[in-house]
Amino acid sequence: MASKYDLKALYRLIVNSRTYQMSSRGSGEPGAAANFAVYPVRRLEAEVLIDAVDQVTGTTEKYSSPIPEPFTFIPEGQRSIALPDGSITSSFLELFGRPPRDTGLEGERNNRPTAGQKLHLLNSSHIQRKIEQSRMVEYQAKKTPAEMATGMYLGILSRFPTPEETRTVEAYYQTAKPREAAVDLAWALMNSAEFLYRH
Amino acid sequence: MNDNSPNRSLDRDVGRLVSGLGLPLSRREAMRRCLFGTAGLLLMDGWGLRAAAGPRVATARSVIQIWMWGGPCHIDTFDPKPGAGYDYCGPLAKAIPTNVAGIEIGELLPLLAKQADKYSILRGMTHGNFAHETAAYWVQTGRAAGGREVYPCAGAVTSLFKGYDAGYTGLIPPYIVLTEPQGRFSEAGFLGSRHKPFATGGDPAAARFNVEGIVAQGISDQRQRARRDLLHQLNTLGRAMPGDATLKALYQSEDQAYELILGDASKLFDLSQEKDELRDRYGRTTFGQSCLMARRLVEKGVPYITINYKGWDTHKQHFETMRRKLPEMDKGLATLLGDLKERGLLDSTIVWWSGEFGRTPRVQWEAPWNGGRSHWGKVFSAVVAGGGFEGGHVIGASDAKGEELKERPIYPADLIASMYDLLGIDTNAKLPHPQGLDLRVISADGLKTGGRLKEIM
Repeated sequence: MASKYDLKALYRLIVNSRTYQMSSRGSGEPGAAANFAVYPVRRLEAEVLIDAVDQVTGTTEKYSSPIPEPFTFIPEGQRSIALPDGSITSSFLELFGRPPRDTGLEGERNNRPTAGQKLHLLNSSHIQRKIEQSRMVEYQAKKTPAEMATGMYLGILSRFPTPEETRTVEAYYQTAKPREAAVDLAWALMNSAEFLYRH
Repeated sequence: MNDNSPNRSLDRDVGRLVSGLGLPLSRREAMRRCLFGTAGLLLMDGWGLRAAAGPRVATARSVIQIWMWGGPCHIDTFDPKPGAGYDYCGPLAKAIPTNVAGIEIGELLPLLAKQADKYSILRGMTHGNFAHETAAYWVQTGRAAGGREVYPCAGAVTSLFKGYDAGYTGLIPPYIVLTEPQGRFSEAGFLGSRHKPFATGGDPAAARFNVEGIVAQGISDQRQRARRDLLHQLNTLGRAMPGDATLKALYQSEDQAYELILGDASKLFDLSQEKDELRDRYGRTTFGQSCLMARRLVEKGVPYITINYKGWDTHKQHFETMRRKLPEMDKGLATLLGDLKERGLLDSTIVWWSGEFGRTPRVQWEAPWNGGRSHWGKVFSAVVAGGGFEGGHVIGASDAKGEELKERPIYPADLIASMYDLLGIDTNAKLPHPQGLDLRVISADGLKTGGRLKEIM
């Protein structure tokens, strides 16, 4: 209140706190997470995950509701986290455990990883198409392997690659066509635990 | 079960009784114990009785549901009315005899006519609903639409009672739909997305059956392996946090996924492993090859497979469509029945052929239909075979023009409950509900019924 309801000031306070900046790399002692000694890794929620995938690849999702008629169409640019209606959904959102909003209970959301989810991320035409259409991939494919690694890491994981990671990318570049290498790198980063989990 | 449940307290009393046997009992003590025991039995609420009646021994392991989306015409398929005249039969006026004396079916199904001893025709199907969505819901859940609950369909219920919660360990999901989901139909209802079917996508009749998530288009196995190595090498977070339980769950799901992508599962979907001659017999159509794929899935022990066969909503060009599509259906379904029988799978596999309703018996010659048929829910036909259903029978009948039910109504719940009996699913079992409501698989709460299909079970 002292900062006149300034939300930015509140964010600043939270993100600068020691608790918020806690590393997710704990000592592994039991009870560490319960006692706030580490930041427990959490999988991105269904809506957040698809929004992240869309933002990285520059693609969008189509949402519509066939019931009741006439159909409702959600503008393509709108983020999934902003969907107002629990019945407007997609197979992706359901697969990744978005709650149907039948109850107000937190337990309705299911963030457990399943083989089906992994199949979707690793190998579905949905994700494959997004990566193929990505302008970032198209752009990065024209660069040298080291530049591509830097660009992709910044674009997808928001950090620079380590020297070792750059070497891995360069080695992979030798074995595949440039475009395929770029697609595969984007695919690998989007399937990494670092992308899928808050840490 | 909590500690105060009647079963437990009964056990405890029996235990006390047994441990006390060596000691002389006072009369009052003996009386007290007897009363306790009896009360315990009463509290068990008929449990003992139900166990004695018991669900019958399961004869069926799998179901292949051939879903005729749109509503196939009963008169042109399994309930022909050659005597009804041109206004009802149009150009398809003939019925043909089958290999079972006294049973005739439509003239465009000559191959199925040779297999009539394997299936039974349910000509008394009825629900009286004429709209796709509500009728599809009724036929597949056994309940009329419109209540406040959205019930799961037979596939989702089978996935619940025969799937991962019931000891099914296969990597292939327990409930599969070939190739697209029905759309505007919630298969799982309140059971939630865990019991939705896995939709394969792709086309089994194509050179390569691209199964969504399992067989990717344009990515060779070699590139799949190279990509996986790259993913593992770049796993920086995972290496920084060895032993993290949350991430371990992720890697487990990834390993399972790769067993499907690069392991036996991708071979299972490779129909080129079947003999060309057999593939031809099924017909090189999406439906024909879906039937073949369904047989391969049954061999792997998948409990429920739906073949979503579209294109039966023939308001216009009805007879042209019948001439084009019925031979395709005839080929696929007849070969499936024969193939299952030859492999000894028919005894443990239910084949259920049905749409959401039949079609208007009197042909609409007028514009704009110009020889079409509309929806008809008053009476229509379904077909069941295998898994404990006897073949070679007809149950129920429509009137001389196929318009009204004449005898033996069969409501959707009757058919579904009969399937559950054969699968060994207790129709009185509780369905898990998000708000904990007491809802049963098939309850007697005002559901219309003509009784189970006792005639053929």
